[in-house]
Amino acid sequence: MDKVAIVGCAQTKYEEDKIDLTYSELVFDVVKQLHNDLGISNDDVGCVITSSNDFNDGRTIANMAIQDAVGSVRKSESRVSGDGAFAFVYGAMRILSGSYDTVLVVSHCKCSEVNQYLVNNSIFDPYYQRHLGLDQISSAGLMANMYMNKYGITEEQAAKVAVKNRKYALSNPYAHLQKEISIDDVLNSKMMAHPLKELDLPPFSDGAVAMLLTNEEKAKKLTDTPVWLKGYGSCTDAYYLGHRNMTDLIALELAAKTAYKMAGVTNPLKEVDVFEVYDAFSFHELMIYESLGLCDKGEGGKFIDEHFDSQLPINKSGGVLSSNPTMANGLIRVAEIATQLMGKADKRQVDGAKLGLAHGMNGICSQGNCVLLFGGE
Amino acid sequence: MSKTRKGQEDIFEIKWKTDLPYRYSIGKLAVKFFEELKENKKILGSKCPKCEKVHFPPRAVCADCFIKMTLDDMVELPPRGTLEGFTVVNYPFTDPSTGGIRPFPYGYALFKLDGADTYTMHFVNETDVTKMKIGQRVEAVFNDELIGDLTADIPYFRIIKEEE
Repeated sequence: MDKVAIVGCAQTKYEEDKIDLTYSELVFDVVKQLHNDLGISNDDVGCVITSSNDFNDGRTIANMAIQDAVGSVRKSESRVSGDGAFAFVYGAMRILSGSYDTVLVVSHCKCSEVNQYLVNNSIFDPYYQRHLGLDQISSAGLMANMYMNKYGITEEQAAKVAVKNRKYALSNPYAHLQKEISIDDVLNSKMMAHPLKELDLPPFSDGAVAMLLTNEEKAKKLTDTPVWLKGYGSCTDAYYLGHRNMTDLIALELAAKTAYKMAGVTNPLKEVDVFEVYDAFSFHELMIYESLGLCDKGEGGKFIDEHFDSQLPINKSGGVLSSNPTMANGLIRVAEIATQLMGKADKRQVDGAKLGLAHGMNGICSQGNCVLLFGGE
Repeated sequence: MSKTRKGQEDIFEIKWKTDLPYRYSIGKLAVKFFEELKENKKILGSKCPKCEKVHFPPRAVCADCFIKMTLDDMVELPPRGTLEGFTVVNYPFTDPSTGGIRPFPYGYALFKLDGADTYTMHFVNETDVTKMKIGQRVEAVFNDELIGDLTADIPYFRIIKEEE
Protein backbone atom coordinates (compact mmCIF):
# COMPACT_ATOMS: atom_id res chain seq x y z
CA MET A 1 0.00 0.00 0.00
CA ASP A 2 1.16 3.55 -0.71
CA LYS A 3 1.54 5.62 2.37
CA VAL A 4 -0.90 8.09 3.92
CA ALA A 5 0.39 10.42 6.62
CA ILE A 6 -1.29 12.58 9.21
CA VAL A 7 0.95 15.64 9.54
CA GLY A 8 -1.05 17.81 11.92
CA CYS A 9 -4.22 17.87 14.03
CA ALA A 10 -6.18 20.57 15.76
CA GLN A 11 -9.00 20.27 18.27
CA THR A 12 -11.26 22.73 20.04
CA LYS A 13 -11.87 22.56 23.74
CA TYR A 14 -15.01 20.46 24.13
CA GLU A 15 -17.75 22.22 26.08
CA GLU A 16 -21.39 21.88 26.98
CA ASP A 17 -22.63 24.90 25.08
CA LYS A 18 -20.60 26.97 22.64
CA ILE A 19 -23.50 29.33 22.14
CA ASP A 20 -21.12 32.14 21.21
CA LEU A 21 -19.99 30.36 18.02
CA THR A 22 -21.93 29.29 14.94
CA TYR A 23 -20.92 25.85 13.79
CA SER A 24 -19.24 27.46 10.83
CA GLU A 25 -17.13 29.65 13.16
CA LEU A 26 -16.35 26.64 15.33
CA VAL A 27 -15.01 24.82 12.27
CA PHE A 28 -13.11 27.87 11.02
CA ASP A 29 -11.23 28.23 14.32
CA VAL A 30 -9.95 24.68 14.23
CA VAL A 31 -9.03 24.78 10.51
CA LYS A 32 -7.21 28.10 10.92
CA GLN A 33 -5.29 26.73 13.89
CA LEU A 34 -4.21 23.74 11.79
CA HIS A 35 -3.01 26.07 9.00
CA ASN A 36 -1.02 28.12 11.53
CA ASP A 37 0.50 25.06 13.21
CA LEU A 38 1.68 23.68 9.85
CA GLY A 39 2.65 27.03 8.36
CA ILE A 40 0.40 26.51 5.36
CA SER A 41 -2.36 28.52 3.70
CA ASN A 42 -5.64 27.39 2.21
CA ASP A 43 -3.93 27.20 -1.21
CA ASP A 44 -1.89 24.26 0.11
CA VAL A 45 -5.02 22.19 0.74
CA GLY A 46 -5.93 19.96 -2.21
CA CYS A 47 -9.41 18.90 -1.22
CA VAL A 48 -11.64 18.63 1.82
CA ILE A 49 -13.62 15.82 3.46
CA THR A 50 -16.03 16.70 6.25
CA SER A 51 -18.19 14.69 8.64
CA SER A 52 -21.39 15.93 10.21
CA ASN A 53 -25.04 15.02 10.65
CA ASP A 54 -27.97 16.87 9.13
CA PHE A 55 -30.37 16.17 12.02
CA ASN A 56 -27.85 17.69 14.42
CA ASP A 57 -27.15 20.71 12.26
CA GLY A 58 -30.81 21.24 11.39
CA ARG A 59 -30.12 21.61 7.68
CA THR A 60 -30.04 19.16 4.84
CA ILE A 61 -26.64 18.68 3.22
CA ALA A 62 -25.37 20.63 6.22
CA ASN A 63 -21.79 20.53 4.94
CA MET A 64 -22.84 23.07 2.29
CA ALA A 65 -23.09 25.65 5.08
CA ILE A 66 -19.44 25.36 6.14
CA GLN A 67 -17.68 25.61 2.78
CA ASP A 68 -16.24 29.01 3.68
CA ALA A 69 -14.98 27.75 7.04
CA VAL A 70 -13.21 24.69 5.62
CA GLY A 71 -11.80 26.70 2.72
CA SER A 72 -13.43 24.68 -0.03
CA VAL A 73 -15.31 27.33 -2.00
CA ARG A 74 -14.50 26.46 -5.64
CA LYS A 75 -12.64 23.37 -4.45
CA SER A 76 -13.41 19.65 -4.18
CA GLU A 77 -15.34 18.84 -1.00
CA SER A 78 -17.33 15.81 0.00
CA ARG A 79 -18.93 14.72 3.24
CA VAL A 80 -19.49 11.61 5.27
CA SER A 81 -22.85 11.81 7.01
CA GLY A 82 -21.64 9.78 9.93
CA ASP A 83 -18.78 9.32 12.34
CA GLY A 84 -15.56 11.23 11.65
CA ALA A 85 -13.41 8.08 11.52
CA PHE A 86 -15.13 7.20 8.24
CA ALA A 87 -14.29 10.70 6.97
CA PHE A 88 -10.66 9.91 7.72
CA VAL A 89 -10.96 6.77 5.56
CA TYR A 90 -12.51 8.79 2.72
CA GLY A 91 -9.67 11.33 2.99
CA ALA A 92 -7.04 8.58 3.00
CA MET A 93 -8.55 7.16 -0.19
CA ARG A 94 -8.23 10.55 -1.88
CA ILE A 95 -4.50 10.52 -1.10
CA LEU A 96 -4.16 6.88 -2.23
CA SER A 97 -5.95 7.70 -5.51
CA GLY A 98 -3.01 9.94 -6.34
CA SER A 99 -5.39 12.76 -7.28
CA TYR A 100 -4.51 14.96 -4.31
CA ASP A 101 -1.32 15.59 -2.37
CA THR A 102 -3.12 17.03 0.65
CA VAL A 103 -6.57 16.45 2.13
CA LEU A 104 -8.14 18.37 4.99
CA VAL A 105 -10.46 16.20 7.12
CA VAL A 106 -12.83 17.98 9.49
CA SER A 107 -15.64 16.88 11.77
CA HIS A 108 -17.87 19.00 13.95
CA CYS A 109 -20.91 18.70 16.16
CA LYS A 110 -22.89 20.98 18.43
CA CYS A 111 -25.03 18.74 20.59
CA SER A 112 -26.31 21.84 22.40
CA GLU A 113 -28.34 23.01 19.42
CA VAL A 114 -30.97 20.27 19.37
CA ASN A 115 -32.61 17.72 21.68
CA GLN A 116 -30.20 14.79 21.38
CA TYR A 117 -32.78 12.27 22.63
CA LEU A 118 -35.07 13.09 19.71
CA VAL A 119 -32.20 13.01 17.20
CA ASN A 120 -31.17 9.59 18.49
CA ASN A 121 -34.76 8.37 18.58
CA SER A 122 -35.03 9.25 14.88
CA ILE A 123 -32.47 6.49 14.14
CA PHE A 124 -35.26 3.96 14.75
CA ASP A 125 -37.80 3.02 12.10
CA PRO A 126 -40.91 5.21 12.30
CA TYR A 127 -43.62 2.52 12.34
CA TYR A 128 -42.47 -0.41 14.50
CA GLN A 129 -39.98 1.15 16.92
CA ARG A 130 -39.63 4.92 17.01
CA HIS A 131 -42.77 5.58 19.05
CA LEU A 132 -41.43 3.27 21.77
CA GLY A 133 -39.14 6.20 22.47
CA LEU A 134 -35.93 4.20 22.27
CA ASP A 135 -32.79 6.31 22.15
CA GLN A 136 -29.07 5.91 22.70
CA ILE A 137 -29.43 5.61 26.49
CA SER A 138 -32.33 3.19 26.76
CA SER A 139 -30.95 0.92 24.02
CA ALA A 140 -27.54 1.02 25.76
CA GLY A 141 -29.35 0.03 28.98
CA LEU A 142 -30.78 -3.04 27.24
CA MET A 143 -27.36 -3.94 25.84
CA ALA A 144 -25.62 -3.49 29.20
CA ASN A 145 -28.31 -5.56 30.94
CA MET A 146 -27.87 -8.46 28.49
CA TYR A 147 -24.06 -8.27 28.59
CA MET A 148 -24.06 -8.27 32.43
CA ASN A 149 -26.39 -11.22 32.59
CA LYS A 150 -24.53 -13.30 30.04
CA TYR A 151 -21.07 -12.86 31.51
CA GLY A 152 -21.67 -11.93 35.16
CA ILE A 153 -20.21 -8.43 34.73
CA THR A 154 -20.83 -6.10 37.70
CA GLU A 155 -21.86 -2.46 37.83
CA GLU A 156 -18.70 -1.81 39.84
CA GLN A 157 -16.49 -3.14 37.03
CA ALA A 158 -18.25 -0.85 34.56
CA ALA A 159 -17.89 2.07 36.99
CA LYS A 160 -14.13 1.57 36.89
CA VAL A 161 -14.15 2.50 33.18
CA ALA A 162 -15.84 5.80 33.96
CA VAL A 163 -13.45 6.49 36.85
CA LYS A 164 -10.41 5.71 34.68
CA ASN A 165 -11.52 7.83 31.73
CA ARG A 166 -12.61 10.77 33.85
CA LYS A 167 -9.26 10.69 35.64
CA TYR A 168 -7.40 10.65 32.33
CA ALA A 169 -9.49 13.62 31.16
CA LEU A 170 -7.80 15.75 33.84
CA SER A 171 -4.61 15.56 31.73
CA ASN A 172 -6.35 16.48 28.48
CA PRO A 173 -6.83 20.25 28.08
CA TYR A 174 -9.50 19.65 25.39
CA ALA A 175 -11.67 17.39 27.57
CA HIS A 176 -15.16 18.59 28.48
CA LEU A 177 -15.65 16.99 31.91
CA GLN A 178 -12.63 17.58 34.10
CA LYS A 179 -13.58 16.40 37.53
CA GLU A 180 -12.27 13.24 39.13
CA ILE A 181 -14.94 10.78 40.26
CA SER A 182 -14.92 7.67 42.44
CA ILE A 183 -16.50 4.25 41.95
CA ASP A 184 -19.06 5.18 44.63
CA ASP A 185 -19.87 8.41 42.78
CA VAL A 186 -20.72 6.36 39.69
CA LEU A 187 -22.72 3.75 41.60
CA ASN A 188 -24.64 6.44 43.50
CA SER A 189 -25.29 8.72 40.53
CA LYS A 190 -28.82 9.09 39.23
CA MET A 191 -30.25 5.94 37.65
CA MET A 192 -30.97 6.59 33.95
CA ALA A 193 -31.72 3.25 32.27
CA HIS A 194 -30.83 0.32 34.48
CA PRO A 195 -27.99 -0.64 34.90
CA LEU A 196 -26.72 2.68 33.53
CA LYS A 197 -26.37 5.61 35.88
CA GLU A 198 -25.66 9.19 34.91
CA LEU A 199 -21.89 8.73 35.32
CA ASP A 200 -21.86 5.56 33.19
CA LEU A 201 -22.89 7.81 30.31
CA PRO A 202 -21.15 10.58 28.38
CA PRO A 203 -22.09 14.26 28.50
CA PHE A 204 -23.29 16.06 25.37
CA SER A 205 -20.58 18.32 23.99
CA ASP A 206 -19.86 20.91 21.32
CA GLY A 207 -16.59 20.87 19.43
CA ALA A 208 -14.65 20.28 16.23
CA VAL A 209 -11.51 18.52 15.07
CA ALA A 210 -9.40 18.93 11.93
CA MET A 211 -6.37 17.20 10.47
CA LEU A 212 -4.24 17.28 7.35
CA LEU A 213 -3.44 14.10 5.42
CA THR A 214 -0.75 13.86 2.80
CA ASN A 215 1.44 11.44 0.86
CA GLU A 216 4.95 10.24 1.68
CA GLU A 217 6.75 12.81 -0.44
CA LYS A 218 4.93 15.84 0.93
CA ALA A 219 4.86 14.59 4.54
CA LYS A 220 8.60 15.07 4.90
CA LYS A 221 8.30 18.72 3.87
CA LEU A 222 5.52 19.45 6.34
CA THR A 223 6.67 17.74 9.55
CA ASP A 224 9.39 15.75 11.29
CA THR A 225 6.77 13.62 13.01
CA PRO A 226 4.40 12.15 10.42
CA VAL A 227 2.00 9.45 11.55
CA TRP A 228 1.34 6.67 9.04
CA LEU A 229 -1.83 4.71 8.36
CA LYS A 230 -0.94 1.04 8.90
CA GLY A 231 -4.22 -0.80 8.90
CA TYR A 232 -7.95 -0.33 8.40
CA GLY A 233 -11.04 -2.45 8.80
CA SER A 234 -14.71 -1.59 9.01
CA CYS A 235 -17.79 -3.70 9.58
CA THR A 236 -21.48 -2.97 10.03
CA ASP A 237 -24.03 -5.08 11.89
CA ALA A 238 -27.80 -5.41 11.30
CA TYR A 239 -29.99 -2.31 11.66
CA TYR A 240 -32.54 -3.77 14.08
CA LEU A 241 -31.16 -4.34 17.57
CA GLY A 242 -33.30 -7.48 17.65
CA HIS A 243 -31.37 -8.91 14.71
CA ARG A 244 -28.01 -8.62 16.44
CA ASN A 245 -26.13 -10.49 19.09
CA MET A 246 -26.45 -7.82 21.78
CA THR A 247 -23.88 -9.31 24.15
CA ASP A 248 -20.84 -9.29 21.86
CA LEU A 249 -19.75 -6.58 19.43
CA ILE A 250 -19.36 -8.95 16.49
CA ALA A 251 -19.03 -6.20 13.88
CA LEU A 252 -16.25 -4.50 15.83
CA GLU A 253 -14.48 -7.83 16.21
CA LEU A 254 -14.54 -8.36 12.42
CA ALA A 255 -13.39 -4.78 11.74
CA ALA A 256 -10.48 -5.21 14.17
CA LYS A 257 -9.43 -8.52 12.63
CA THR A 258 -9.24 -6.91 9.18
CA ALA A 259 -7.22 -3.96 10.49
CA TYR A 260 -4.84 -6.18 12.50
CA LYS A 261 -4.24 -8.36 9.46
CA MET A 262 -3.37 -5.37 7.28
CA ALA A 263 -0.97 -4.00 9.91
CA GLY A 264 0.52 -7.41 10.76
CA VAL A 265 -0.66 -7.30 14.37
CA THR A 266 -1.12 -10.71 16.00
CA ASN A 267 -1.16 -9.82 19.70
CA PRO A 268 -2.82 -6.40 20.04
CA LEU A 269 -2.40 -6.07 23.80
CA LYS A 270 1.33 -6.57 23.47
CA GLU A 271 1.97 -4.86 20.14
CA VAL A 272 -0.33 -1.82 20.20
CA ASP A 273 0.99 0.87 22.56
CA VAL A 274 -2.02 3.17 22.78
CA PHE A 275 -5.75 2.84 22.11
CA GLU A 276 -8.52 5.39 21.63
CA VAL A 277 -11.95 3.75 21.51
CA TYR A 278 -15.51 5.02 21.16
CA ASP A 279 -16.75 4.33 24.70
CA ALA A 280 -20.44 5.19 24.25
CA PHE A 281 -21.14 4.01 27.83
CA SER A 282 -19.06 2.40 30.56
CA PHE A 283 -20.08 -1.22 29.89
CA HIS A 284 -19.47 -0.61 26.20
CA GLU A 285 -15.72 -0.09 26.79
CA LEU A 286 -15.57 -3.48 28.54
CA MET A 287 -17.24 -5.04 25.49
CA ILE A 288 -14.74 -3.22 23.25
CA TYR A 289 -11.78 -4.78 25.13
CA GLU A 290 -13.18 -8.17 24.22
CA SER A 291 -13.92 -7.35 20.58
CA LEU A 292 -10.48 -5.83 20.05
CA GLY A 293 -8.95 -9.06 21.33
CA LEU A 294 -7.37 -7.52 24.45
CA CYS A 295 -9.02 -10.25 26.50
CA ASP A 296 -11.30 -13.23 25.94
CA LYS A 297 -15.07 -13.01 25.47
CA GLY A 298 -16.81 -12.25 28.75
CA GLU A 299 -13.55 -11.20 30.41
CA GLY A 300 -13.95 -7.42 29.97
CA GLY A 301 -14.81 -7.00 33.66
CA LYS A 302 -11.87 -9.06 34.78
CA PHE A 303 -9.62 -7.10 32.42
CA ILE A 304 -10.50 -3.74 34.03
CA ASP A 305 -10.11 -5.28 37.51
CA GLU A 306 -6.59 -6.42 36.63
CA HIS A 307 -5.54 -3.15 34.98
CA PHE A 308 -7.48 -0.58 37.02
CA ASP A 309 -4.53 0.49 39.12
CA SER A 310 -2.10 0.54 36.20
CA GLN A 311 -1.79 3.24 33.57
CA LEU A 312 -3.93 1.36 31.05
CA PRO A 313 -3.19 3.08 27.70
CA ILE A 314 -6.83 3.07 26.61
CA ASN A 315 -8.59 6.42 26.18
CA LYS A 316 -5.84 8.56 27.71
CA SER A 317 -7.82 11.51 26.32
CA GLY A 318 -10.66 10.72 28.70
CA GLY A 319 -12.64 9.13 25.87
CA VAL A 320 -16.22 9.78 24.89
CA LEU A 321 -17.28 9.48 28.55
CA SER A 322 -15.47 12.81 29.09
CA SER A 323 -16.17 14.62 25.78
CA ASN A 324 -18.96 13.75 23.39
CA PRO A 325 -19.46 15.93 20.29
CA THR A 326 -21.10 12.84 18.79
CA MET A 327 -20.27 12.97 15.07
CA ALA A 328 -16.68 14.08 15.74
CA ASN A 329 -15.87 11.30 18.23
CA GLY A 330 -14.19 8.95 15.74
CA LEU A 331 -12.00 11.66 14.22
CA ILE A 332 -11.06 12.83 17.73
CA ARG A 333 -9.89 9.26 18.45
CA VAL A 334 -7.73 9.45 15.29
CA ALA A 335 -6.37 12.89 16.28
CA GLU A 336 -5.53 11.69 19.79
CA ILE A 337 -3.67 8.64 18.46
CA ALA A 338 -1.80 10.83 15.96
CA THR A 339 -0.87 13.25 18.76
CA GLN A 340 0.38 10.36 20.89
CA LEU A 341 2.48 8.93 18.04
CA MET A 342 3.92 12.38 17.32
CA GLY A 343 4.99 12.46 20.98
CA LYS A 344 3.03 15.67 21.48
CA ALA A 345 0.40 14.50 23.98
CA ASP A 346 2.03 16.34 26.92
CA LYS A 347 0.63 15.18 30.26
CA ARG A 348 -1.38 12.36 28.68
CA GLN A 349 1.57 11.05 26.60
CA VAL A 350 2.20 7.30 26.60
CA ASP A 351 6.00 7.13 26.62
CA GLY A 352 7.53 5.61 23.51
CA ALA A 353 4.19 4.97 21.78
CA LYS A 354 4.94 3.63 18.29
CA LEU A 355 1.73 1.88 17.25
CA GLY A 356 -1.77 3.13 18.04
CA LEU A 357 -5.38 2.10 17.42
CA ALA A 358 -8.35 4.42 16.85
CA HIS A 359 -11.96 3.19 16.83
CA GLY A 360 -14.93 5.08 15.41
CA MET A 361 -18.58 4.10 15.47
CA ASN A 362 -21.88 4.84 13.75
CA GLY A 363 -25.41 4.17 14.91
CA ILE A 364 -26.94 2.72 18.04
CA CYS A 365 -25.08 0.12 20.13
CA SER A 366 -22.00 -0.19 17.89
CA GLN A 367 -23.77 -0.92 14.61
CA GLY A 368 -21.06 0.47 12.30
CA ASN A 369 -17.43 0.19 13.36
CA CYS A 370 -14.19 1.54 11.95
CA VAL A 371 -10.80 0.40 13.27
CA LEU A 372 -7.63 2.22 12.21
CA LEU A 373 -4.04 1.44 13.10
CA PHE A 374 -1.31 4.04 12.94
CA GLY A 375 2.47 3.98 13.28
CA GLY A 376 4.82 6.79 14.29
CA GLU A 377 8.34 7.45 13.09
CA MET B 1 -36.24 36.56 19.77
CA SER B 2 -35.06 36.64 23.36
CA LYS B 3 -31.94 37.56 25.24
CA THR B 4 -30.03 35.16 27.45
CA ARG B 5 -26.67 35.62 29.09
CA LYS B 6 -23.50 33.60 28.91
CA GLY B 7 -20.71 35.08 31.00
CA GLN B 8 -20.79 38.85 30.55
CA GLU B 9 -22.14 38.79 27.01
CA ASP B 10 -25.71 39.25 25.90
CA ILE B 11 -26.71 36.61 23.40
CA PHE B 12 -29.73 36.76 21.14
CA GLU B 13 -31.69 33.58 20.63
CA ILE B 14 -34.04 33.15 17.72
CA LYS B 15 -36.44 30.25 18.16
CA TRP B 16 -38.61 28.70 15.51
CA LYS B 17 -40.46 25.49 15.02
CA THR B 18 -40.89 23.72 11.70
CA ASP B 19 -43.14 20.78 10.93
CA LEU B 20 -41.52 18.44 8.43
CA PRO B 21 -44.15 15.77 7.78
CA TYR B 22 -43.22 12.60 5.93
CA ARG B 23 -45.41 10.17 4.03
CA TYR B 24 -43.46 6.94 4.34
CA SER B 25 -44.16 3.82 2.38
CA ILE B 26 -44.22 1.12 5.02
CA GLY B 27 -44.37 -1.65 2.43
CA LYS B 28 -46.85 -4.45 1.77
CA LEU B 29 -45.67 -6.62 4.66
CA ALA B 30 -46.17 -3.90 7.24
CA VAL B 31 -49.60 -3.05 5.79
CA LYS B 32 -50.58 -6.72 6.20
CA PHE B 33 -49.12 -6.72 9.70
CA PHE B 34 -51.16 -3.72 10.81
CA GLU B 35 -54.33 -4.97 9.05
CA GLU B 36 -54.15 -8.35 10.77
CA LEU B 37 -53.44 -6.68 14.11
CA LYS B 38 -56.48 -4.43 13.75
CA GLU B 39 -58.97 -6.84 12.16
CA ASN B 40 -58.02 -10.19 13.71
CA LYS B 41 -55.85 -9.38 16.73
CA LYS B 42 -53.07 -11.40 15.13
CA ILE B 43 -49.31 -10.86 15.26
CA LEU B 44 -47.47 -11.70 12.02
CA GLY B 45 -43.79 -12.17 11.28
CA SER B 46 -42.06 -13.04 8.03
CA LYS B 47 -40.36 -16.38 7.40
CA CYS B 48 -37.47 -16.63 4.96
CA PRO B 49 -38.43 -19.27 2.35
CA LYS B 50 -34.79 -20.35 2.13
CA CYS B 51 -33.32 -20.45 5.68
CA GLU B 52 -36.74 -20.50 7.39
CA LYS B 53 -35.60 -17.87 9.88
CA VAL B 54 -38.67 -16.06 11.30
CA HIS B 55 -38.26 -12.28 11.51
CA PHE B 56 -40.27 -10.17 13.90
CA PRO B 57 -41.08 -7.37 13.21
CA PRO B 58 -41.65 -8.72 9.68
CA ARG B 59 -38.82 -7.78 7.34
CA ALA B 60 -38.94 -7.71 3.56
CA VAL B 61 -35.36 -8.91 3.05
CA CYS B 62 -33.54 -11.79 4.72
CA ALA B 63 -30.05 -10.44 5.28
CA ASP B 64 -28.51 -13.90 5.60
CA CYS B 65 -29.91 -15.27 2.32
CA PHE B 66 -30.23 -11.91 0.56
CA ILE B 67 -33.66 -12.70 -0.82
CA LYS B 68 -36.97 -10.93 -0.64
CA MET B 69 -39.89 -12.16 1.43
CA THR B 70 -43.46 -11.63 0.23
CA LEU B 71 -46.96 -11.67 1.74
CA ASP B 72 -46.93 -15.46 1.20
CA ASP B 73 -44.05 -15.71 3.64
CA MET B 74 -45.93 -14.10 6.53
CA VAL B 75 -46.59 -16.39 9.48
CA GLU B 76 -48.67 -15.93 12.62
CA LEU B 77 -46.83 -15.75 15.92
CA PRO B 78 -48.34 -16.26 19.37
CA PRO B 79 -48.61 -13.17 21.58
CA ARG B 80 -46.17 -14.71 24.06
CA GLY B 81 -42.43 -14.88 24.31
CA THR B 82 -39.39 -15.12 26.54
CA LEU B 83 -37.53 -12.20 28.10
CA GLU B 84 -33.95 -11.81 26.87
CA GLY B 85 -33.12 -8.36 28.24
CA PHE B 86 -34.69 -5.42 30.06
CA THR B 87 -34.15 -1.93 31.35
CA VAL B 88 -36.14 0.65 33.28
CA VAL B 89 -36.01 4.15 31.86
CA ASN B 90 -35.78 6.75 34.58
CA TYR B 91 -35.37 10.06 32.77
CA PRO B 92 -37.83 12.43 31.12
CA PHE B 93 -38.35 11.71 27.48
CA THR B 94 -40.16 13.68 24.82
CA ASP B 95 -42.71 11.25 23.45
CA PRO B 96 -42.20 11.22 19.69
CA SER B 97 -45.92 10.45 19.16
CA THR B 98 -47.28 13.38 21.15
CA GLY B 99 -44.44 15.87 21.61
CA GLY B 100 -45.24 15.88 25.35
CA ILE B 101 -43.11 14.57 28.19
CA ARG B 102 -43.79 10.88 28.83
CA PRO B 103 -44.32 9.83 32.44
CA PHE B 104 -41.41 7.83 33.85
CA PRO B 105 -40.12 5.39 35.06
CA TYR B 106 -41.20 2.78 32.52
CA GLY B 107 -39.88 -0.63 31.60
CA TYR B 108 -38.52 -1.87 28.27
CA ALA B 109 -38.25 -5.53 27.46
CA LEU B 110 -36.29 -7.20 24.71
CA PHE B 111 -37.76 -10.62 24.02
CA LYS B 112 -38.26 -13.37 21.46
CA LEU B 113 -41.83 -14.24 20.55
CA ASP B 114 -42.31 -18.02 20.52
CA GLY B 115 -41.36 -19.25 17.06
CA ALA B 116 -39.42 -16.07 16.12
CA ASP B 117 -35.68 -16.06 15.56
CA THR B 118 -35.12 -12.35 16.19
CA TYR B 119 -35.66 -10.26 19.28
CA THR B 120 -38.13 -7.42 19.50
CA MET B 121 -38.61 -4.59 21.97
CA HIS B 122 -41.70 -3.28 23.71
CA PHE B 123 -42.85 -1.70 26.95
CA VAL B 124 -43.23 -4.05 29.90
CA ASN B 125 -45.46 -3.55 32.95
CA GLU B 126 -42.66 -3.68 35.49
CA THR B 127 -40.44 -0.90 36.77
CA ASP B 128 -38.68 -2.85 39.53
CA VAL B 129 -35.61 -4.45 37.96
CA THR B 130 -35.27 -6.86 40.88
CA LYS B 131 -38.57 -8.43 39.76
CA MET B 132 -37.38 -9.06 36.22
CA LYS B 133 -35.06 -11.80 35.08
CA ILE B 134 -33.97 -13.18 31.75
CA GLY B 135 -35.99 -16.25 30.83
CA GLN B 136 -39.28 -14.95 32.24
CA ARG B 137 -42.35 -15.39 30.08
CA VAL B 138 -44.07 -12.31 28.67
CA GLU B 139 -47.44 -11.84 27.01
CA ALA B 140 -48.96 -9.09 24.88
CA VAL B 141 -51.74 -7.06 26.48
CA PHE B 142 -54.19 -5.89 23.81
CA ASN B 143 -56.30 -2.79 23.96
CA ASP B 144 -60.09 -3.34 23.74
CA GLU B 145 -60.33 -1.22 20.64
CA LEU B 146 -57.83 -2.03 17.88
CA ILE B 147 -56.83 0.67 15.39
CA GLY B 148 -53.79 -0.84 13.63
CA ASP B 149 -51.07 0.93 15.63
CA LEU B 150 -48.49 -1.15 17.45
CA THR B 151 -48.22 0.78 20.72
CA ALA B 152 -51.90 1.75 20.80
CA ASP B 153 -53.17 -1.78 20.16
CA ILE B 154 -50.56 -3.49 22.34
CA PRO B 155 -49.76 -0.86 24.98
CA TYR B 156 -47.35 -3.21 26.74
CA PHE B 157 -46.29 -6.81 27.41
CA ARG B 158 -46.91 -8.21 30.85
CA ILE B 159 -44.64 -10.53 32.75
CA ILE B 160 -46.42 -13.85 33.32
CA LYS B 161 -45.97 -14.75 36.99
CA GLU B 162 -44.61 -18.23 37.65
CA GLU B 163 -47.70 -19.45 39.49
CA GLU B 164 -49.86 -18.72 36.42
